[in-house]
Parts: sequence; structure tokens; C-alpha cells
Amino acid sequence: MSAADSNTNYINHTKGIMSWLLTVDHKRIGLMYMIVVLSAFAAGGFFAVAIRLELFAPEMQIFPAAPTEGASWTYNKAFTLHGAIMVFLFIIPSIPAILGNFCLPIMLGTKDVAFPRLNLASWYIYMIGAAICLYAIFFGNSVDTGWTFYTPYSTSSSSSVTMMTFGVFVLGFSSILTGMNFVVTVHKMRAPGMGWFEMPLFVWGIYATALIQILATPVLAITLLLLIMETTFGIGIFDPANGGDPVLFQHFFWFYSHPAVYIMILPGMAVMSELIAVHSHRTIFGYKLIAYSSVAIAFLGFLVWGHHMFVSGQSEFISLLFSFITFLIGVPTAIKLFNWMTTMYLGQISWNTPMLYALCFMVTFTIGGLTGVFLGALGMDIPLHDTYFVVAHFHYVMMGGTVIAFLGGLHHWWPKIFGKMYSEFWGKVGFVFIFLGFNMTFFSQFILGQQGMPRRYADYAGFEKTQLFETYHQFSTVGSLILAVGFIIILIYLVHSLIAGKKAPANPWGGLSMEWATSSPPPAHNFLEDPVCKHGPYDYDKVRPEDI
Amino acid sequence: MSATTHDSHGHPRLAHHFFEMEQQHECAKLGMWLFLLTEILFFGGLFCFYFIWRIMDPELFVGASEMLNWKLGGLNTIVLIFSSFTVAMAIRSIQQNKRNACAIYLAITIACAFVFLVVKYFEYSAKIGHGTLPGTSFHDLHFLAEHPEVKNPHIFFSIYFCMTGLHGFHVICGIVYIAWLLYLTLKNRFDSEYYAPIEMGGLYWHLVDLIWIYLFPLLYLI
Amino acid sequence: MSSSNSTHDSHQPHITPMWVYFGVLGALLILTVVTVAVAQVDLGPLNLPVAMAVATVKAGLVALIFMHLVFDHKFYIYLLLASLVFLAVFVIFCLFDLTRRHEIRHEVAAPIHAEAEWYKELRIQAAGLDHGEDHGDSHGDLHGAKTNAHSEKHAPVQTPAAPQH
Repeated sequence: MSAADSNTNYINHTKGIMSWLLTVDHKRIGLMYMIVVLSAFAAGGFFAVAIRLELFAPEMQIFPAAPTEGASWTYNKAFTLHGAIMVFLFIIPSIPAILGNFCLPIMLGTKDVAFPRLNLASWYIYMIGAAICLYAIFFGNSVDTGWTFYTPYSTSSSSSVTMMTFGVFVLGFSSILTGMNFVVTVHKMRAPGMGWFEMPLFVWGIYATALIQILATPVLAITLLLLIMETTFGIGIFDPANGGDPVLFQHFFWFYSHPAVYIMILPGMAVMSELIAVHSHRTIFGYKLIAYSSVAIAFLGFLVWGHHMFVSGQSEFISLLFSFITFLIGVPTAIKLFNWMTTMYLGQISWNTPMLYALCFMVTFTIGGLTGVFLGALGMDIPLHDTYFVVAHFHYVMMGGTVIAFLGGLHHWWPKIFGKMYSEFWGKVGFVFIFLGFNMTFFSQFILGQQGMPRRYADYAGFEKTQLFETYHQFSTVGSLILAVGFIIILIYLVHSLIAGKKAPANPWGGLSMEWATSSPPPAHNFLEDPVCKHGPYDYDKVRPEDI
Repeated sequence: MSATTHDSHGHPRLAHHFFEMEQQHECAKLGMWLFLLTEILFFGGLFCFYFIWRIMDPELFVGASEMLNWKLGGLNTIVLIFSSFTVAMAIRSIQQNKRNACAIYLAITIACAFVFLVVKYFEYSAKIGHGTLPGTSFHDLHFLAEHPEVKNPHIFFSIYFCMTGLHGFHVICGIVYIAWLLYLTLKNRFDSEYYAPIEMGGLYWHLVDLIWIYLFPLLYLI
Repeated sequence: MSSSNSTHDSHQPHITPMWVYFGVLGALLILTVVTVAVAQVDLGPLNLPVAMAVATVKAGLVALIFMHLVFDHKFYIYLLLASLVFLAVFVIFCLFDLTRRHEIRHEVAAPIHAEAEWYKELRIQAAGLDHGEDHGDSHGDLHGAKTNAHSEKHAPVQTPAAPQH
């Protein structure tokens, strides 16, 4: 690396807003996604805090009991928007669009993804979808159906379901095109010497995610299209008033939305494999098993959607079938978990911020995953469905899983992406707030749910257990505020690192995959010379990090 | 940043991030196949709509499919099959650097697509005239009088209009796509080494044909 | 493999012979005739599977020959089959639900897919229709009546449609 090159990287080699808005560089696109996706997270978080504040006391405090002329913002709209924004605008794109876009081509030793212009198009499609949703929220009548848009309420609600679902329809294409790009890149653009089993496990996880994105998202697209047709023309597929079947809507919806949760978690697991291996400085245990388990989860995820519908009125036969298959998904998931733990054993563990997030993941995701198996048991789901137990379960897997992994990945690759080191002290402080806040917020919700607190209720006064509910809700709300402070702390020290952080070396953590072999931040074309893959990504017993 | 360069990197249409034309071609082909998979799952939802009502309420189909003109449907089937043939021949021509033949075949494909749309126009306008419309707009009283045993007949027409409508939308997109390919062919953009976009267009067009191959018997005949 | 590799593709793309394409075109046209012919015969419950089978043969010819699947890497066929497998799972599992709901729900009176309320008005109008009337008049008269039924339908539905049978 010559002295002249060491100051030119993908961020500063061209200037001006148009060089970013018209870029086809996957790294810049990853950053553009970072800005908009994290903004969406803030918006979803805003609604989350509103919900938690409303639930602090049994009766209605902030939101009206019913929409009126002057107060059309109801609690139903708050939880719908929290869910819809978090699912469609934040968590589904998050790791693939940000970390996947940035890291995947570099890890494969190639210059860019297979279709760079399509990559940029994906970003613009995301922006258009987001704009349509925002329009529905602020200039239309918003949505109050729940993020699941169940019929027949969604086909007869006075809220702007059509516009919102059209926005989500558009967002789906962003997801599909990103998935297509990644699959082709992994198949056709690996560096010489890199076979399927020399790729980092992060790539395997993103690849499995991309397969789901390609196969599942189109079904969401047709579902939303048919919902719009039903609302506008009364075609008679989902609305019983027109001869349709509302449970069929649920089948259509969950056929996408269950694989969607694997779109959410597989990238988190992909990040985990990197964090654990690199920060334990050990060869990952069971590489092939972890790789295959990603694909197995992707496959099995398509077969279990009915476990969201046990109380919908679907046939007993199909409920039994779905419940049975749901148990199988625990197997590949557990395989990964045991492999990560075994990797750590006898490793030289660095107790830094990314590793702390990785450890947190193993605890919180396990709780989330196991409670998922509880809910998958038909008998247990009947009393627990639509209670806070379910809310706690999915927040443990989505936030305690994906968001924690995302934070870990963000801290792990931050030096690579920006060339700056953040403050390790504040990293740990932020982690403590997140860990404490998260568990306070959501563990109490398991108890709330098991005690009978229904979800999507704002006014829980008048129940036999209202006092008990109130205590746990207050505990949860305080936890959510601590969690919010944690995110603000993270935002502050990360932004500060951009301004005044220490310059990052090429390989601050001693990793062996290809992204650590290039400068921090990388040059515009990722590498100064076309790389050749000479060793595996975790061959700590054969290669030293200084030699890559 | 342009995706193609004219340096000593090889063929002028080789993008900067690929090593050689074959890699670029293979990526384009795989990418288009993945897109076709998404289209299969997309239409699949409508086929699910079809199959569920077919099995739960077979009388709906027996009665209502009489309203569809199988001769026009058959004509459309033949037109699309022929257009699939011509687009395959177009690719075959450009593989041998026969630019003019390629352009002619592409033009015939587009013409066939227009014939398809014209036939559909006649079919749709006949339906609208009779009131045989999807959803709550359905008011074909003659049908109701002749087939009192069919309940919710509008659902058949919902299925019909949704499936053929979405298919017709894809035909229109195909026309735009192939017209653009024709334009580029006439501008000498393609040769025997670089013709991936035409192959991609061909694959897309074959899928449009494939879907119609299923729609014709399922809607018009049985 | 460096980026200055200028050797041409040693892999020549497969150029399908003309007669193969003409042959497939002919086969497809014949099969279309078969499709129509077979549909004239009422096979009862076999109507659907037979129609699907003929369509699948045609689709197979298009996919294998026109789309080159038979000449390409087997991987593309696996991809196509994978998507069809998932689609089949979707349809089949939905049918497992829809066709077996009555098994524990025999105590509930309402059938699935009861007829929509707004047919009542339409059927009355249809019953009053004289079969010798020409189309122009009937549509003109009833268009107004239809819009009334239409607007009634759009009032919010409070309860599910009552069963017709």
C-alpha cells in the first residue's frame, strides 16, 4: 500500500451529493441504507416509547379511547405503525442491506456485487416505498389494523390501508432485488481459490437469507395486491361479506411473514459466527454444520407458517401438522448455538464491545428461541396466543437476537467502514444500558402474558389482575426508557468517533477473512490488487492475522 | 462511476467488476432465472386462489367458464407459443452474429404480443358490456338467470380478471422490454459475445408464455 | 486469473439446431389442439389433473428447450423445481386447512364462502328478467338499480353474512 493510496478510500475519492446519489459502489450504498434504515428504527422506537408510556397506567392516558375529530391518533395506530415500520422499514433490510452490502463483496474478494446498478435501484425502491408509507401515515388516515392487516377489518377500515400496503408492496421489491444480487454474487463472483467452504460464515448466512427473500417476498406482494383488490373491488377472496375467507388471508400473509422472521434472524446468526470466531481467535467449530444449518433453517421456515394461526379457526389437522414441523426448526438453531459455544472454549477471548454483544445474543436469543418452541406447542399456544407472552417472545428474538447482533456487527465492522475507532469504554457503557434496559422491558412481558395480559390493549383497567399488570407494565416501561438511553449513548459515541476517533488500523481485531486484508476504510474498488484466496476465513491455527 | 470501461479490460461491454464476458453472461442468466422464480411465486398466489375455489366450489367454474370464449383463448395461446418460438430464434440469430435476423425475430415477437393484447381487449370489452365484472361490480343478470345454481359467480370473474390482468400487465412490460432490445439490436449493441440482455428478455418472455399455457385450460376449458 | 486476461471464452455457447426449435413449435401447436380436444370430454374429477398434465407437458417443452434448461447446468432445473415445490406446499397446506375445517366444526352452522349479501337484490332482478329482452334496454334500466345495491354493500359490515342454506 503506497503512501499516496493510504489517504484515498471509497468515502473521499469523489465528492458531492450526486456522487453518492448516483453511486454504484456497494459500500456507499450500504452507508446510504444505514442512514435511512436507522432513521426508520428511530421512528419505530418513537412509537414504542409512546406505547410503553400509555401502558404505564391501566386507563387511557395519552391516546383517546376512540378516534374523534380532533384526536385521530389512536393506540391502535401507534402499535400498528410501531410494528409495520420496525418490520418492513427497519429489521428486514437492516443487516443484509447495511452490513451485507458493505461486507459481502469484500469478504468474497471481489470488486462489487453482481449487479451494482440494480443495487442502487434497490435503495431507490426502498426510498419510494418508505415515502408512500409516510404519505399514508401523515397525509392519509394512517393504519390501525395491526401490522398484520387481518381481514375483514383491513378491508373495511377507514384508515389508509390501501396506500400503506401499496408502500409495503414497493418495499418488497427492494428486498427481492437485494436478495437476487447477493445470490448471484455468491455463486459467480468469489475470488480465485475460494470455494463454497472457504467463504466466511457471514456470507453463508446472508446467502440463505437471500434465498428466502427471493422465494417468500413475492407471496407478500401478491397478498397485498389481492388485499388492495379486495378493498377496492370486493373480489371475494378474503372478505366474508363478498364470499371470501378471512383465514385464507392469514395463510397468504404468514406464508411470507414466517420466512420473513428468518430473513430477520439468519443475518444476525451470520454476524454471530464472525464475532465469535474472530474475538475468540479460534477456528470456528463445525463450519459445515453451521453453513448447512443456515440453509436448513431457510428451507424449514417455509413449512411452519400456520403456527401463527392456531386459534384462527383453521382445521385441527393442519394445526397439528404445523406444530409438529415447528419443533424441527429448533434443531439447526441449536446446532449453531452449541458450535459457537464450543468455538469459544479454549479460545483467547477478547472482552470487547462486539464480543459482549455476541454473548448477549447467545443468552437473549436462546430465551427467545425456546419460548418460540413453547408457543409452537399447540396446547400451550391456545392460552398464550395474543398475550404479552408472544410479544415478549418475538422481541427477544428480533431485538435480543437481530438488533443485538446488528449492534455487535456494527461495532465489529465500524473501524473497517469508517476507518475510525470508537471509545471502548463508552461501548461497554452503552452495552450495559442496552442489556439491562432490554431485559427489564421484555422479561416482565413474559410474566404479563402468562398472567393473561392481552396484547394490543391499552386500557387494562377492571381486570382481576389489573394491579399486577400495572406493576409489571411500569417495570417494563422504565426498562424501555433505559433501553432508549442506551441507544442514544451508542449514537453519541459512534458519531463522536467519526469526528474525533482514533484512526483505525486495517485489522484491529485480528480477523482472517478478506475484509481485514484491505485498508480501513477500503479503497474504492475494495482491493489494490485482485486478491487470491489462500486460506480459510478462520484458520487461526495456520495463519497469523499479521500475514493476511 | 460507470459500470463499463473501455480500457484494456477486454470486450467493450465488459463491466468493471467482472473478469470476463462469460462470468458476466452467467451472472445475467442466473439473475434473470432468480427473477423468474419470484414471478412463479407471485403468480402462484393467484393459482392458489384458483385451486382453492376449484376444489371447494367446483360448480362455480363449470358454470362460469362458459362465459369465456375458448376460441379467442386458443388463438391467444397459439400466438404466444409462436412468439416464444420467434424470441428463441432471435437469440439463436445473435449467437451467430446475424443482427438483422435477430431484429426481425424480435419485431415479430412484439407483433405477436400486440395481437395478444388486441384479442384480450375484445374479450374484456365484451365482459364489461355484459356486466361480467369482478367483485362487487358484477351485474351480469343474464348469467344469474341462466345459472341460478352458481353461488358467488363474481369470484370466478375475480380470479379470471386478476390472473389474466396480471398476465396482461406482464405482456405489456414484455413489449416495452423487447422493444428496447430491438432498438439496441438495431444500434449494433449486441454481438455473438455479448447478447445476455436478449437472452434475459427471451427467458422473461418464455415465462409469460408458460403462465398462459396454464391459464388457458384452467380458465377457459375446464 | 488477472483482470488483463484477454483470452476469449473457451466455452462456446450452445446453439440449438433449427430443427429442434421447429419441432418444439410443432409439438406445442399439436398439444394445444390436444388440450382443447381433451377438455371436450367430461372426465369428472379427472378434468383438472388431465388438463394440468397436458399443460405441464407443454410447459416442460418450453422450459427445457426454448429456455435451454436441458442444455444448461442442472442447477437451473433444481432452482425451478425448488420454487414449484414451495408453491405446491403453499397450495396443498392451504387445501389441508380449507377442506378439513368441517371435521371439528360440524356444530357451526355457517358454511365457508357463504354467498354475498348483495346477490339477493341481483337475483331478484335476474328472476324478473325476460329472456327475450335485448341487452341494451335491460342494462340501461338496471344500471340505476345496481348502483343502489352497490352503495348499500359499502356500509361497514358489522356481522358476517348470514348463511344462505
